[in-house]
Amino acid sequence: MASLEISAVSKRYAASAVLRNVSLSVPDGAFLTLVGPSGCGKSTLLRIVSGLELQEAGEVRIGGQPVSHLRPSQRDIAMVFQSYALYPHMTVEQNIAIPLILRRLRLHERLPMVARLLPRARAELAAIRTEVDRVIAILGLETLRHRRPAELSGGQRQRVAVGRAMVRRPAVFLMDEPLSNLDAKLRVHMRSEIAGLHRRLGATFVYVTHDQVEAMTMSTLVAVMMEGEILQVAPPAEIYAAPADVRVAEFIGSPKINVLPATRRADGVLEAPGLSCALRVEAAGALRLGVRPEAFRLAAPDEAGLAARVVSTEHTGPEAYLHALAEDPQAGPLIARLAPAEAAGLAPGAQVTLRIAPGAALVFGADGRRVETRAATAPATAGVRHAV
Amino acid sequence: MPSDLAALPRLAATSDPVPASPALRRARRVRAVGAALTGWGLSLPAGLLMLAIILIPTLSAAVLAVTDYQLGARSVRFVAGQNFAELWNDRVFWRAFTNTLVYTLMTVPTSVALGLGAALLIESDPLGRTTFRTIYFLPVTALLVAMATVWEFILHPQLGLVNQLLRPLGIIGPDWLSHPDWVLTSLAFIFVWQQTGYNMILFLAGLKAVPSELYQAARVDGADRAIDRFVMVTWPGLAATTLFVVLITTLYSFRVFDTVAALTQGGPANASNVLLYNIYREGFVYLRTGYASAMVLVFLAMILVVVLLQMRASRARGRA
Amino acid sequence: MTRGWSAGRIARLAVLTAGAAVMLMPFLWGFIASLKPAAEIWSGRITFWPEQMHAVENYTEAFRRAPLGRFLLNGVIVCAGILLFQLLFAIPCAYALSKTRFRGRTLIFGAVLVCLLIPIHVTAIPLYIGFARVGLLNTYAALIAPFTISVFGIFLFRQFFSAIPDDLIAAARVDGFSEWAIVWRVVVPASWPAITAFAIFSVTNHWNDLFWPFIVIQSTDLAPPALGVIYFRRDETGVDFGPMMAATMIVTAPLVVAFLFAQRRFIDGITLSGVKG
Repeated sequence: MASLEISAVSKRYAASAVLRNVSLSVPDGAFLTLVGPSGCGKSTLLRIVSGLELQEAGEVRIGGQPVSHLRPSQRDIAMVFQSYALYPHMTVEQNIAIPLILRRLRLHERLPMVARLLPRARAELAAIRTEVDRVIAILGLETLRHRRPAELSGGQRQRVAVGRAMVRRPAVFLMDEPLSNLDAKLRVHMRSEIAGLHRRLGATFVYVTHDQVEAMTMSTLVAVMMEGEILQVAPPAEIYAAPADVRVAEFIGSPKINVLPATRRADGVLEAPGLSCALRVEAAGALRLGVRPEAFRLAAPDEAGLAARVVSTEHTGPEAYLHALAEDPQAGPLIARLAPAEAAGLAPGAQVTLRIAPGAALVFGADGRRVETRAATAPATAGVRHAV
Repeated sequence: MPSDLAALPRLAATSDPVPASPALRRARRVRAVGAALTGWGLSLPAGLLMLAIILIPTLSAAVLAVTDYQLGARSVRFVAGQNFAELWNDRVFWRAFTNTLVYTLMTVPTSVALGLGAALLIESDPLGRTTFRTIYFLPVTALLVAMATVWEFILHPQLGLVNQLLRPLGIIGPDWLSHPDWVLTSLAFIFVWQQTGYNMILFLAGLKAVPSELYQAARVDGADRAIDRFVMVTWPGLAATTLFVVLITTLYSFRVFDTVAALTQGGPANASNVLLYNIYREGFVYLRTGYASAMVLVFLAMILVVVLLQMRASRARGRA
Repeated sequence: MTRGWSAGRIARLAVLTAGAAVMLMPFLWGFIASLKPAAEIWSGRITFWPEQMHAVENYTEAFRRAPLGRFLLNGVIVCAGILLFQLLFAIPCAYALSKTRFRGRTLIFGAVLVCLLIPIHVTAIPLYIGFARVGLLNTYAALIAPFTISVFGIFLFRQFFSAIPDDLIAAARVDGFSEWAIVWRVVVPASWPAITAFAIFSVTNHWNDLFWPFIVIQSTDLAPPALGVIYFRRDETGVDFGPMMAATMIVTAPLVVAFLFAQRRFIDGITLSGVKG
């Protein structure tokens, strides 16, 4: 178990920069998820950590030791691929055993008959067998030992791939979108299995995915990547509540956050439609106000707020989502989360007024980064979110 | 508690990437060299063999064609185009050349059409499909010279089955393999007998690649009769396969040698002399190696022309 | 089958059966003739089943006239030798062409494409001269060596290997396989259908080959099956059809029997060669 340190790593493919000066520090035992849209460079970064590709600049350190000069099999890592990459002609047992066989038995000892004759090889094989049995037991693969990958289901194959990684007891586990090929229900189940595995092994996990739900539910640390850069590294709750960049706020959270234009008055107070309590900001320029759907509430008849016209309502059972179009064309389409009772009476075309809870507003500057806000009058109620 | 914004990790500016350290540069060099060594190491043996067994001998053949080399001779003279001039006036060579072309013109349309017909018939109905496919493919697995020997027996003027069956009909069958007018046809027949099964398999694969939804769509569009569906769906869908089958059959047809060497030895009087047999005779019986090499170049040219035509045809089809 | 007997179905069966009769004719007729005594053959009467069984005599005479067993053995030796070397050289090259990026890739692939156009008949004379120079005429080496490189094999395997997921190779590298081990222990087992199909294609071609052995071999004990038939024919003093037919049956049997046992593989072999086009 070791920490992982990525410093100033850059990589180009042909003319485009895939990774721009990326730095990341993963503490020992963390479950870090690299999340971002397709093409943001997260898989490339993972491959560089694994050694399958080499960076053009920067350094990778595992457990404090630089590893750039080491081949993948020499680095203390194990990798689980999106397509599992199991050897189709080997059984489950053999697939799991192969990393140990390749490492512990010398070339001549791997020949089929020879191993049985040499005492050292025999001892190694016995040790390997114990390790493989241990992993098979942990993952519940006992009944599938002698099957080939073609005879396994997607979830079973995935577990074998994890087993092949586990058996090496690596310092760092690397996982490249391992759940993408599974159906939704299986994905939910495997999420908790992998998280449970992490708790049990206590190893450092680096997990790549484009699914922000996976990122939020499984990790202790989330790194949001876009266009070759890491925008923010923080625990999931913080990524959600305190996104460092408007792109992070838009990527994390479903349904997507509402982004409204805002300006700063001369006296420093933020002016934006629907803001129930004035906020003071330092930054100038074209500001943006980020409001999560759950931060909206319907205004009381006498209250002022953001005027909008209902487009449609969605009822999921426990909640309802209101899709509305703001009267102010600059604000654009809005999504608000309401209680089912509140949304029941709203027909398409109806007029509504929405208010934003004070502490729930996120303000972003012209460059996209989040800016500080203070209450303009009463002491800040920051930290208290108006939950609907 | 949201952390202080200022404390969030700031990213380095994206403008100037940090230059690579010497250790990294060394690691990259080692990798690049390793990849090159692997690539070359794995493919060089094959590459060298290609050079030694195919490319260099081909060039040698071209060189030989402009010499008067005789097998086993002590000296060799450069004679430029003399061999080709002699070829131009060589009646035997022209007979072999035209025989090969006539043979090809007989075999290619026949075996392609029969192969296609067999594939269509076999595929159209599940009854007996595997059995017929096996039977039609059997000739491909048989040793050609051996089967040619049996065909020789079947085509025997007195004892052979064919003439025996023709006799009650009042027809005196010719000496199929010894009559100058019939020998080429008989040899062509033997080739078609074997090649049909081969072509059938290729067409069967091609038919399988035609999506069945197209047939359903054709039905909806009003193609009720089988012939309509063939014209609308099957034939266009098989275009690429047909082109390939024609190419393969033509190239195999050019290479006719086994049956001639076994059954007729080019006779009677060069009526069944073909290019490869003529090359063999000139080069290994008369030992006129240089002259034979000139013929080999003509043979190679024929192959290239056919391949170029096929490439042009498939490109035209692609544009159509 | 609940379909009725329409005129179309009957017509189809009739046509196919007629064709099948022609296809099977030499096999059946040759086999029947190999069982008949000479008197019956020369009598000029068409009889299907022999009136007098002469099988034992014909077949023993066939073996006496020429070393048929030797011919078959040579076929096995030559085809096995050729296949072994073809796989040995073509597979690593195809892997390098499909899964490795190195500067010579286009050059070597270009050479492959060019060589695809050049059959043995074009290179035969210079190769013969070469073998004569080093005194290797009339040897197994002469029979095997020119075919050790199969550009068709390289082309076919390259196509197949390209379809193997890159992740599998990456996983193998992470697990610790060397590149050589990846070729033989990861890629080859994953491409088994292509390899068996190619093997069948190769064996069928070289079992049947007459041209090159015709040129390069002079002695009977090195003759592969096709050349063996020619020698058998040459030794015919009279026209003794019975033993001749017996000989053809013996020489043809191995591949036919192999085909009947492994039909799927044979047909896949031909189909794969068609896909390349």
